[in-house]
Amino acid sequence: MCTREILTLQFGHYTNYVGSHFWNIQELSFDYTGTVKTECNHDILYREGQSSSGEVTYTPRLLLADLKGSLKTLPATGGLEETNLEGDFSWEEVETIKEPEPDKNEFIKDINAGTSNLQDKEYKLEQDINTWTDYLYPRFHSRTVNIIKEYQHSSENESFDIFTSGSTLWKSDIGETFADNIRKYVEECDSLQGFQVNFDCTDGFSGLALGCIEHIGDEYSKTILSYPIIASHFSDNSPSTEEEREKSTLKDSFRLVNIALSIEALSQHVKLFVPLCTGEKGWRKPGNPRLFDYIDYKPECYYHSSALLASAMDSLGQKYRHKSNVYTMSDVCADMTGYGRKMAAASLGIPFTFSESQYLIEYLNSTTKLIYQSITPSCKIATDKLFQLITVRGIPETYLKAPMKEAKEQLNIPAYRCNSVKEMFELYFQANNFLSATNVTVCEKPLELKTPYPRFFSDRLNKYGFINSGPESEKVESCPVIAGLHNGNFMADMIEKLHRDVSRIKFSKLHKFGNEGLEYGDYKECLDRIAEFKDNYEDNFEL
Amino acid sequence: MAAISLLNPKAEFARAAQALAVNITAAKGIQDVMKTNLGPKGTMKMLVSGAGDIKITKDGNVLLHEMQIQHPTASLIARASTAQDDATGDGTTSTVLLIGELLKQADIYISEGLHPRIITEGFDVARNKALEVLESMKIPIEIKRENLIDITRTALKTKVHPSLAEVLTDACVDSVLAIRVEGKPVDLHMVELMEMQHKTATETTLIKGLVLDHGARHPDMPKRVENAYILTCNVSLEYEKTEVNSGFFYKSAEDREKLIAAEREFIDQRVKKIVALKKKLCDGTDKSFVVINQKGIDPLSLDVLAKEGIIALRRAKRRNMERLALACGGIAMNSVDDLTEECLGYAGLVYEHILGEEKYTFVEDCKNPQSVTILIKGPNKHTLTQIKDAVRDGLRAINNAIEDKCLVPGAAAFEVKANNELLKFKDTVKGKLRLGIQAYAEALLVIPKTLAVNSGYDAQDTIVKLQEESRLNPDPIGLDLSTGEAIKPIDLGIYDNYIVKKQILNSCSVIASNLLLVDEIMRAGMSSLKG
Repeated sequence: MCTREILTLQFGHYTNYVGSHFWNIQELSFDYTGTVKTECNHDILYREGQSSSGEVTYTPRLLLADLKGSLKTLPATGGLEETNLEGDFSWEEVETIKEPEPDKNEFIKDINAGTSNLQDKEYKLEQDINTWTDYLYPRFHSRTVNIIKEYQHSSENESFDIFTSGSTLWKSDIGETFADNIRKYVEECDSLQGFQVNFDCTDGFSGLALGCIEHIGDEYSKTILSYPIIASHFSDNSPSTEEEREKSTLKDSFRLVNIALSIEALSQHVKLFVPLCTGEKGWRKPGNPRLFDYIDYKPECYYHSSALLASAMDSLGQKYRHKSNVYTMSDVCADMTGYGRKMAAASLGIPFTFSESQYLIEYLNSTTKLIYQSITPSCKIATDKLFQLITVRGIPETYLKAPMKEAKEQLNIPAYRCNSVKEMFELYFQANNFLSATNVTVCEKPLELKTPYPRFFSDRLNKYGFINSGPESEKVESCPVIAGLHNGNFMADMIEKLHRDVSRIKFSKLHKFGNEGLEYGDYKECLDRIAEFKDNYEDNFEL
Repeated sequence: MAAISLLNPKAEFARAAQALAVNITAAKGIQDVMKTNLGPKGTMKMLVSGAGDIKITKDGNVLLHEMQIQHPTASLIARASTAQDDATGDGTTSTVLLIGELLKQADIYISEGLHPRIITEGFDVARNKALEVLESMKIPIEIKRENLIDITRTALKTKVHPSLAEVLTDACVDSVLAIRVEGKPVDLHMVELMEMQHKTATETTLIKGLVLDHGARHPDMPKRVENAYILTCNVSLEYEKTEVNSGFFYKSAEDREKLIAAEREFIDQRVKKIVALKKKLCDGTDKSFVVINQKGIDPLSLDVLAKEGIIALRRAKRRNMERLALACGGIAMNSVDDLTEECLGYAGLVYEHILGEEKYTFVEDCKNPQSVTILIKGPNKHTLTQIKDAVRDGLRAINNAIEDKCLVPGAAAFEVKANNELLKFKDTVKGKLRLGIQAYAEALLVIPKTLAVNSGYDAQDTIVKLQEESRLNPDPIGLDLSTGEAIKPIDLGIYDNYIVKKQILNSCSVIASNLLLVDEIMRAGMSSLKG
């Protein structure tokens, strides 16, 4: 059966952190021996090509954008092509201006040296990571990296923090090059299923991404699935002086307006979008970190929080990347977005775990907590009136239930008649979610946690990510994960809150937006459209 | 104490002389960086990023974009220079140099106690005079190949190696002449720039037709055809599944396969129409058929087309649809319903060229191409970028000349002449204003001085020679960079664009005046005031 390709687009620094983890997970799960049965069709996200020296390459079908100065050790050509310095002419005088070479951390050094025992070595990546390329395992195709030269990464003087500056940028040369690169990728695909656009929705990249989304919407009649992402922490989040506090408030307002403008524009142009953030609130500061049992992560460490989002994205994507080819992205989007409810929430349970001495049936029967945690900001996933798509990975069938002879009281649980993990989860959701439609996808393979995935797991987990019953501690190598997309009228609360918060900001305070060409009328209209968008989620629910 | 400190005690500020010093230092700084790049003998700069990315250039505008300019004044000057590039495509380095020099000259007088306002007024008067001089030096031209060659060569020699400049000059001029329609403004977008990482830079050529950066996606399609009908269209030839809430309602894949078969029929009809037209026109003749589609073509449709010997390209660039119609004739079709022979274009030769994973399709031998391609070749990425930047500027220079219908002599002839005239003019002006004019006149000389220094001659020697010669001789006198002697640029065919010089005079005077009149620089409060 033919491969239905996906083109991934990444805009923004934090998104690239997430992206780095995402592509690490993909690339480290490749099997070169041919002995492992893979469920995931890698050709969907990857392309085979040839470098100019004739070598075969296998690179992500990916375009990413970031600001100047954010790449550090990664060359803008993606790192696969050797730069050939020989020119035709010998210039008599060439003045060389060389930037100092950035320090390479041990991990990157080892990759470049081709060290094979990456998995056995202990790296202190938490301290060594300053940017997303510092733990990037794959190398890219030469068109993948697009650097925005107009703005400098983390520069105080000219910050790229306004939606409208991004929109303006899209209309300039960089937009044209980017669009051409998209076209080249699409031209290669025999039957593209759609685009996945991930972007930072709190700064100028939001405008750039939306410009791009509008373009691909016009040009290609393909599904667009978008993940607007909010970073887990901003450097100005804990102000100490009065002046800093003022600055922080203003920056928060900017971010909030960017989020609102993005959500409004997304509701016009994409099929489905799912805001992601590991903080509880997302706006007016990302808020307290969402807690996951058995994981201890620091929200101010992007390397940590982005790994969670990447795991969620990878798990959610299993559905339309499965070898069986039953679902496509457009199916997923169509399933989720009845009544114009284009925004959905995502959830993640990592590790989805129970004691190694327990069976799944016992765990599901006894647990009172939600088995997943929302990763959509300011959003509490309701338990009834839902459309949901759930992906469960890494629960072996042997963990399902006890064999007949030893079953004992398990026999009294109605779920005992279920013969597969899929059936059991279907029953679980049927029982727990009133008036809901649930579709469960089960993948056998767990999420593999190979270096450079952060080591933030509790030492109570065993090798396979289940809770250890004995005292010995093992290095976690993989863990089961549950992830889901949920839609229902509970989303109305989130939009309502967004609309309320953003309406409190006086437009006159946003002179920087004004300078970049945002007019009051348009802004007002945009807020009104958000309120209208909310109406889609009001009570006209029917199955 | 500055007034701002009453309102905001944390504000940083610099006043009067100090403020001016800040501006002048910045202007000098950026001038120093750019100075060595001016003119054909200027040095190249190679910028190497931390990760090893390379850029080699001497184009002022490119450099300014690559450099991280932190200083607010310097970035203001850089923007003026960028604006110069947007408007004319040339003269960016000159802009930076001139602004810097104007401030330097003004500083001499200001430090002696002259009020900046007087200087700026002097600048104003001097600028008007200089514009008059420029006007008087205009040489009207006819739009002929020889005339355009001269101006293009002058522009390109300041950007790339001389031997490459010759090659590019011909390509640029011929391309503009090909697409130009009498009485209409030239649309430079109709010159496609296509990069090919291949061979050497001097093999850059003009293709009278189009080069597309993709090829046929079917192994059985012909790689080369002659005498081809070209169908350009914007019609989807790929099957898009209609959406069904399959996750909840459809259980098996077979159910959907049935639906797919029924819906594919629709696309097949379209392909059949194209095939029918091909059969009608080509069968039994030596003609062949090429389809260039802006939308997608899926493998099944490609298969049908390949069986008929049709070359089919999918996902053509939007702008290429317009270019194709101009190059080959015919109309870009939005539907395949009423196809006739008139809708089709013609090309004598269509062939594919493969370089690694990149494919190129050449559409050549068109009957009367009004859209052409400059095929840029080079052994590596940075050479390609460098040539591309240069070609853009070359095309702009030609376009400027066509629009101005005149040229001015190059090789710093204008600056020398203007200096001469301004010094004469100064004596007719009364009062302190003349100091401003004096400063302006001196500042203009920065161009010949820098040119001389960059070619290895002594700046003072050269200037004296040029000034003397210019006083004796009514003709424009410029600097010969290969000998260091005075020459008549017209004899050597060295010309500049009128509009470029005009723009430089205007923008530099304004920016320099503005910077001079700044008497207080403040940096206060919210970060949003910065950017």
